[in-house]
Amino acid sequence: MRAWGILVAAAVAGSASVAGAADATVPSQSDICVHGLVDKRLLVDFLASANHLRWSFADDVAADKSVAFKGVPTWKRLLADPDICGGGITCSKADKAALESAQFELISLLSQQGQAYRSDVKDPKTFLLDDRAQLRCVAQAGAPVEADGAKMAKVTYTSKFRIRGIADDLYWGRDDAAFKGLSKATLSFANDETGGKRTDKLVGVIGYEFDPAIGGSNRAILVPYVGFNRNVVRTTGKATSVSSDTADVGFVAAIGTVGDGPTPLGSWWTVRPDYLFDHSDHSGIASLNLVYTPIVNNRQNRFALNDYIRLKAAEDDFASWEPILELHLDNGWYTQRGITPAAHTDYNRLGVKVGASLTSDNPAIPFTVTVTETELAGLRGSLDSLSYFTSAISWSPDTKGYFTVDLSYTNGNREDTGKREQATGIGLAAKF
Amino acid sequence: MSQADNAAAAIVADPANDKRMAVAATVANQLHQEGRWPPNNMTKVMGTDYHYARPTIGTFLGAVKWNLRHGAPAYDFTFDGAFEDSALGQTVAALMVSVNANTTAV
Repeated sequence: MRAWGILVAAAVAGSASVAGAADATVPSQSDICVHGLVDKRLLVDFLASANHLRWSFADDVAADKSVAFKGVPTWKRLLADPDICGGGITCSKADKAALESAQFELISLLSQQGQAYRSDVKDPKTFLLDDRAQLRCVAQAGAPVEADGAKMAKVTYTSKFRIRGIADDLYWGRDDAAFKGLSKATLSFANDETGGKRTDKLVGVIGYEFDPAIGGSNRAILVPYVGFNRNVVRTTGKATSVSSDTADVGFVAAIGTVGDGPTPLGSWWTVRPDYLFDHSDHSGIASLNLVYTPIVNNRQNRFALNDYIRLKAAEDDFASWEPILELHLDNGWYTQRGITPAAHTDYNRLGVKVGASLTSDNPAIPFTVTVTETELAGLRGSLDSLSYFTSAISWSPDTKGYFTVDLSYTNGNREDTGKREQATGIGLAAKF
Repeated sequence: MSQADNAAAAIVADPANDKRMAVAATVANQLHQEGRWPPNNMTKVMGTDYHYARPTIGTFLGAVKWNLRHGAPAYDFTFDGAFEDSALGQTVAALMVSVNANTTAV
């Protein structure tokens, strides 16, 4: 048998910029320790260099006549003076960002009492100006204990275009942790020449995000979109088989609110008006879908809801999992009942989507497993209840998860059309 | 005035330094509360490394805001949706810088 197949991952180009992130902000003891103590000058030089502070900046500082720091060496004032960019010194935006980042990294080193360094003072000014204040270098069995730290460079995509597998995933951003586990758009063509069978598959939604300002700490996101779901099999000598052939248009409006208090509860409400036309049975349906997502941030790795919990609390490079819970209210009104009008009755459905996502925190093992079950009770319409099970194992060759190799299984009635579906698939998929 | 006297004068009574210390301590404490620290790592990115998303970063920043407001001295930290989105792509160190820039004494 000879077959060819083309699997095309849907993606669009977006503007990108490379942000100048700090390289390695946790110094090794070999770089800064002398006889068990941190050499303050070496530490300042390290943090200034790691944050790309321009070398000529120190000349500007030396020219200043600040009273408070009169007589204080320039290299100490760099990280001791939070107002260094005032008082006649010219600071570019990059200078200010580099200085502040370095200053906060010094605060962190002094504050964390970490595995590699221990300090009796937390204030960088006291540490740098008081000769009695020292940062000790920790050793075990005579060997230096090095801190965790990693080099990194960050690429930020600024495009507001969104490509996903389903419309409900459009309001998540690309920097979101949930991004890796979101549905993916898929475009594939497969041709079995021996069997005379050709399969065309296109699943995805394309949207563009708007962020209207609503004031305060609350936020709103609006994403108009168009979507397609087409799975057609043509076999020579047989009738064309169409498992799905729909197109829809609509928008997702999401509103996020944060409660008050030291451990606030977050709430996300999404409203999605949609019009879907099913080409396979010539039906058309207008729908209004509402989803409420309660947010309980991780409570010291003991409890969370729609946030991640580490499997091993003290290790940030093992794995994390996320309990998923959403409340759904789906409402649909058929504008065209198509060739099977008895099956196309207006509906209201209420229920939950529950599940879990497990993701590796080790960059060398880039796997994510997501399992969800949607259970809706039919308040009105032809279905007394609706169940839809999804599971996917994703392997992401890129760290962000723009492209993934997915092994997926779905079983149940689709939430948008109510049609029965059972499918297993493997393929290259993309989201943006 | 000796160099030591100058140093002592610089250490005490510096509101900008107090604010910076309060921001660093509050962000660090919240990372502990939400299971991201330890290990304390200033180079980790809030979104991709620490699994914060649009809904959860808002809740995280809301807690930072509340704790700064109820500290002594008290500070007012303000943020909006654009701040949340940028925070997801920032390292912990960069986030502390951003929070400090949006924080004022009450």
